[in-house]
Amino acid sequence: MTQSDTLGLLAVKGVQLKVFCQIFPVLRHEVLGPLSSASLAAAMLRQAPEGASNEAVQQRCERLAGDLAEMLEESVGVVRELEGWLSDAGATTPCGDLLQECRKLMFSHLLLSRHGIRWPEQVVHADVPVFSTRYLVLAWLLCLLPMVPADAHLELDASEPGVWRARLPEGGGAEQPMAFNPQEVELLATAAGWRLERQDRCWSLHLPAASSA
Amino acid sequence: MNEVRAMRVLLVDDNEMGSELLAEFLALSNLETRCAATGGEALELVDTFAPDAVLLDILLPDMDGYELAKRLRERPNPPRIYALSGLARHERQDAINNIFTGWIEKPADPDALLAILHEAN
Repeated sequence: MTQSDTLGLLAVKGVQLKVFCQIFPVLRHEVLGPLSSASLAAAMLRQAPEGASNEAVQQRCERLAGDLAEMLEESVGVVRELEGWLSDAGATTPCGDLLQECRKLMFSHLLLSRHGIRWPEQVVHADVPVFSTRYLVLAWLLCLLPMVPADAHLELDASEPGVWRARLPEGGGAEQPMAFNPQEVELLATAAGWRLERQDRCWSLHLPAASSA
Repeated sequence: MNEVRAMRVLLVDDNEMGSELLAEFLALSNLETRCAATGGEALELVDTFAPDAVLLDILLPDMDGYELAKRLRERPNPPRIYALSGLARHERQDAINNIFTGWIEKPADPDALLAILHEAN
């Protein structure tokens, strides 16, 4: 690997880390959810309902212990999935599922931002690599959102094979500091085999040929 | 003699197992509870159940907790509204904090949660 390749790879990793920092609150929320329920179940195991028979108390303890085990198992699963943000295991996923996941991940960023995203109802099926595509789509959206006028929506369209479009509404302009610049999105796109096409009010992501076939 | 009505708490969280557990915990402390898994369900329930307090998760499938809190606040005699969330309070802007009576970070200590609910009643 040449020094230029190494620097290019580092640049990609740097942008991915920036994306990760932006969506970290949602990932933490996902981890804490089942742990929160587990800690409640543990607290309830120390309680005993007044006047309950020994048999009823025993059944309650068994049920709560079962719930606790299930929630801890869920937590372990969520924590293990975090690995998927750091290393590429080569997994692929249908486009619709990936966009649905990105919708959830954008949640805390959109909260009170006075911007919204209209997510596509119709998504042409294609399987895409999870690792690189997730970072790319999030960077694409995070770069575009500051250009959306207040109380308006960025509109996504995935109804055509091989291309996803993000359309900006009229008006506005950059009202907030941009978390990402277009070159960073292009960097992720190129590294993942996608192509970013930038027009005035529409930025399109062209899927890699292997995915859109 | 007038009977004192139990405090009513509406729990809004799409994690149904977590919600049911919390409802059971609060019921053992003589609070009356109902659970809603979405913002839409919560808005329907709030009219019939008339809660004194609402504990809501911020990340709901159909609307965010902030939007739900705003809509609950617009009603006559709005309940106290607490965010119960894995999102840290400091990550939110002041405007979002002001719409809630309180912001409780998950995992919440169950006894502290009870104390918050009773303190404000």
